[in-house]
Amino acid sequence: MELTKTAALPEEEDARSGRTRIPKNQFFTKQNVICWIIVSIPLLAFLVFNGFTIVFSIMAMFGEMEYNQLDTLKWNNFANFIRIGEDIGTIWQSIKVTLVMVLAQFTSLTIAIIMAAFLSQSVKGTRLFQTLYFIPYVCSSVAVSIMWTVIFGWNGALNSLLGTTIDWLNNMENPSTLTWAIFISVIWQAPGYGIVMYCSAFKSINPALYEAADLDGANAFQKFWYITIPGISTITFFLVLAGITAGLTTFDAARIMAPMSWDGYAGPENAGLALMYYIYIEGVQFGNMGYASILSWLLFIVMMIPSVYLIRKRILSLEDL
Amino acid sequence: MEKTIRQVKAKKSFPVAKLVTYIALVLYTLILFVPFLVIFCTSFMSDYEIGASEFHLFPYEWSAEGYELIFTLDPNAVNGVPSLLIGFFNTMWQTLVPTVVSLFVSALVAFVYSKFRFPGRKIFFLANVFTMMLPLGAFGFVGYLFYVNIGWVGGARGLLPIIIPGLFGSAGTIFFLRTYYDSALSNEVVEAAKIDGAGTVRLFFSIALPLGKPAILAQFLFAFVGGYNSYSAQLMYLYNDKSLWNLQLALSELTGMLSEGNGYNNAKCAAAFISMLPLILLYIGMQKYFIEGINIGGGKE
Repeated sequence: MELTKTAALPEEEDARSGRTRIPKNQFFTKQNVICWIIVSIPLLAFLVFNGFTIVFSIMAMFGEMEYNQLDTLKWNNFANFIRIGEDIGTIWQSIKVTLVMVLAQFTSLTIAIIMAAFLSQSVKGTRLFQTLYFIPYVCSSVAVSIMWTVIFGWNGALNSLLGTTIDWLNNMENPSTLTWAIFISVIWQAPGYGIVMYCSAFKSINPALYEAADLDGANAFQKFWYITIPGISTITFFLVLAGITAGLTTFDAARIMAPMSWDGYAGPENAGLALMYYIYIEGVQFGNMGYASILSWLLFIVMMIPSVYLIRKRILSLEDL
Repeated sequence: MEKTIRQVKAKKSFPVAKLVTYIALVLYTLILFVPFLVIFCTSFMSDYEIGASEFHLFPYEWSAEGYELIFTLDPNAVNGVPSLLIGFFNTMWQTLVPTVVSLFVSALVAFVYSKFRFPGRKIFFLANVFTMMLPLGAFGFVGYLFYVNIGWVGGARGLLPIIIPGLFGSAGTIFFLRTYYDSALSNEVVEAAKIDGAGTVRLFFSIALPLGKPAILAQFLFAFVGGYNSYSAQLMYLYNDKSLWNLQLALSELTGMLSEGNGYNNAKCAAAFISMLPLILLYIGMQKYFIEGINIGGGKE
């Protein structure tokens, strides 16, 4: 793709890479100033609206406030950090739930590859199926969670199908059924986007490669493994990162499907306490923004690991822009 | 080229492979649509029928009771107007205003990055990419701390953190539209117009906006879906003022209250179903643009 672009616009490329020194009197031209102003708008807004949040959250970690007002902030001898030690059971539980949500995103990705592979077969009606498969993606996770709440209810469709009488979302004997109910609601909804993306990725693989493989006598699996998988690696990379982000910040489904229960913030034994949900409960509902900030920073640092990798990759690939 | 391969493939492959494909496709369709069918049918049962009998898919007697209940039994109604209606109205403007303004800004910025050479362009764009990649989703709820301290929380002021930060363009959209302008809008056209003496902003309106339409529309659709389904921001900032709730917040609060009594499954299903319906219809009407939108982005990633 990069090659064709360079080939099509050779003189353009010269203008770009030829970093001729600009004389001073041409530096502050009207056009340059207008360009600077325009491209600064989103960057300045980003700085204002996120910069302060980051600074404030760091301050809040080291003290306590009344009604989240920073002017009442008082140093509290790392009490927020000490609380992590006391609260480690709940945090560990919410990490486990969050990891299940990340697993749900990976499962969705796998479903997307498989269904896109079926959709790429030369059979009639694939366009219609592709259209249908995207529908759950445009539904809100709130409404989807309500739908699954009804299905998983004690007089719902699932019990009728299995012949059981379990309250899946409030199961005292095995609370983790709630976690897996949220898992199911996520993997029902999430694959649509990946399916459409993979369909277009499959189409963009050069058909001559398959032709050559046919001549060499490769079987369907070999073709999939040696041609298709490498051909979709860029999109997979992007979707994996988006999936990790989405999984780690799962909130809507957890909040709807896991309301406060008699022995936990989020369902029985906190079986629905995704980390974002815990941050919401601590920070917004209980007003402990200091503690919520620490949890947010933990989440942020975990999320930075794949992001740093992506930023490096993106910036390297931008060298030609 | 592609056709010949397809023909070769078609000759080779057994009908068994085709059959397996169809079975898989239909099976997945069922997995996706049976849950819809369940809530659709449940929404048309009477509360008595749900409580008095075992689970069954199709109602013994079709009843619109669920749909009446969500409008008459709504504890969150403001001045007699049901919260779902208020929510729908609020969703529309709380989504459209920031989406349209932000898209406008994003397109302008993307156009400038794509077609103008100015000192520092590369550094600005790298900064843009950097902001796009930072996983700030983690700070979603901590943002509350900032907005409380600048007085943007409480009553109608809760609208400010929902509307204002979204007005200044989004890094991801800028990246996407810039890639589109790089490939779809030829430099010659822009250069010719520049020689004619058109200014940056005029060039944007006369060339970039009309020619960027497919990509801008795709971005609009996805931003609109995101806004329509937005939940956590409204939950944080507008919870105390029912007249400002958006649809998702109204829906979650309404069904939350209905579940407390362990009944009214018909009303819950009805509420969930009619909340999903507008976007499903929009998607079916515009599905070509949705799919194209993903394909434009997908090809470039």
